[in-house]
Amino acid sequence: MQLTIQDLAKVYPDGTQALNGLSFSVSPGEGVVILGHNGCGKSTLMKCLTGLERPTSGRLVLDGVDLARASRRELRTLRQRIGCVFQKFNMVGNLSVLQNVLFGLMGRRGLLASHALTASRESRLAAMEALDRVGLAHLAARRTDTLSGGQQQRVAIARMLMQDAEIVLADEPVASLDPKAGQEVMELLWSVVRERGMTVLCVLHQIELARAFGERLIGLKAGTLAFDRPTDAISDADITTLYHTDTPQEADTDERVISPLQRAAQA
Amino acid sequence: MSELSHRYSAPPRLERPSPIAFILLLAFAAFFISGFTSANIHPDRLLRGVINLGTFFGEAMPPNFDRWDVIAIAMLETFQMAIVGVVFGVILSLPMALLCARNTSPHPLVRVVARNIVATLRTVPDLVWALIFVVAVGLGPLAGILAIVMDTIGFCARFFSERIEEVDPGPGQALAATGASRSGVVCGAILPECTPSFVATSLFSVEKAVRSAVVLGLVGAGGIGVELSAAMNLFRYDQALTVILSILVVVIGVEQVSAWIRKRVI
Repeated sequence: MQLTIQDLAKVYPDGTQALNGLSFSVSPGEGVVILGHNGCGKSTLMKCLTGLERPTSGRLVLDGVDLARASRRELRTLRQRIGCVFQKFNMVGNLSVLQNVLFGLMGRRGLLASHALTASRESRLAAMEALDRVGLAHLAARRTDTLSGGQQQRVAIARMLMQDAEIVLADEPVASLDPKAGQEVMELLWSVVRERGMTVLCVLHQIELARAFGERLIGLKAGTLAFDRPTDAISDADITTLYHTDTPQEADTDERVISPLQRAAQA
Repeated sequence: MSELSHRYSAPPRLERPSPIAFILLLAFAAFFISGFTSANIHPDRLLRGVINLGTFFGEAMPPNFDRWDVIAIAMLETFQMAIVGVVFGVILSLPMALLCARNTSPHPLVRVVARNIVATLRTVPDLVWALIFVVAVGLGPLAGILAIVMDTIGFCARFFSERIEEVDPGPGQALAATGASRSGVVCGAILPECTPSFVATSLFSVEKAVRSAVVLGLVGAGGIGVELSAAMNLFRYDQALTVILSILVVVIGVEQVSAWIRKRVI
């Protein structure tokens, strides 16, 4: 799936400028890692990509459809092709692992076809295959909240397989995991994505993981691009600058945080 | 140290109440005294009461089990009224709760209307509902069932909607992100997460309904209450005691079973 972002800007109602003229594109099958400190606009970008937030201006074209202007219906059909992996897994905890994987079908086929009770034989079989691919077929009947964090994230990957997504948006997929489980989840995610030829956009805070897995690194700073190059062409200095300089965004944020206090102090 | 205690005396033992507190206190005292006097409580009356109680238990002992079959059938009817009423009440509570909860209501206006309906159902006592339905559908268990349905909606819809509002938004967002519809998100993520709490609330309302079904019979809405009031009116205290004992057994039994299930579910 081809993704093109052009002059994307997002201003929240409280005046926060989260994205400021962001432009880049991702070709089908590419694996891109996004880096940046907290508050640089990564999460806003991810929310715009899933349609949870509407950008203020600019274009965000996914396979010919502009997400910034899509109707509810267009958005829903587009979302069916977008797989999401979240930092906090977002499984329905008191349902079985199999049921959570089957929910991947819900967007395309509706509630009945994705419910473990009423799903077709083929769907149940496909869900078991997806679970087998992530190495958790033996836990299919378990309650999902009894699994470890790493296992739950693998269930999320199985759900994405079930969804048959074409582009994967992963928002800090390993931030809640220990280093070993994090490494394993990243390896699994990347190998699954390669098998299916999916496009990946992954936000990471672990620079080593970003270097190991991303073919291309995008640095975000104050809602604009700091760099956008193949991983080999990124030096340590680039990354140090990304994280350690006082950016205008930070100054802005500080000012916003302080100003109500200052106002209160003056009053 | 001693100098300090000279300059600062201890705060007074009693503080002067604020005017509002004083008025409230006065009103409370007035209601209490007038209520107490109108109840006409005299030592000799209390003494006579104790003697009458003694007479009652003297005549009630030993309980008369002659009519045990009729009483058992009436008790079964009471229990069935409670179960049927709660099942329909819970089924109707679900959509009502979805309309009442902030995160699932289609529109704030709908939410206000739904919440007010539920509040009204809750405010009217079950006995009053029974009186109304006896007029509407006549004497018998149907009136009792309808009264219990109303009472259950008032109770369950409120607690269900509060639970729905506490739900973790993450799993629902994950389903929405796969392109699921609103109803898909509700049925796939929100309701499953709330189910254990819904079951616990429903079990509470079964206990509540069994207790109220007993009383509903007194106004002719079916069940064991009819037997009880008949036995009392005919001064057959030995039969009345049998009815009371059977109520005790069933209510305690239902509470034990529901506590056991609740422990399993949560």
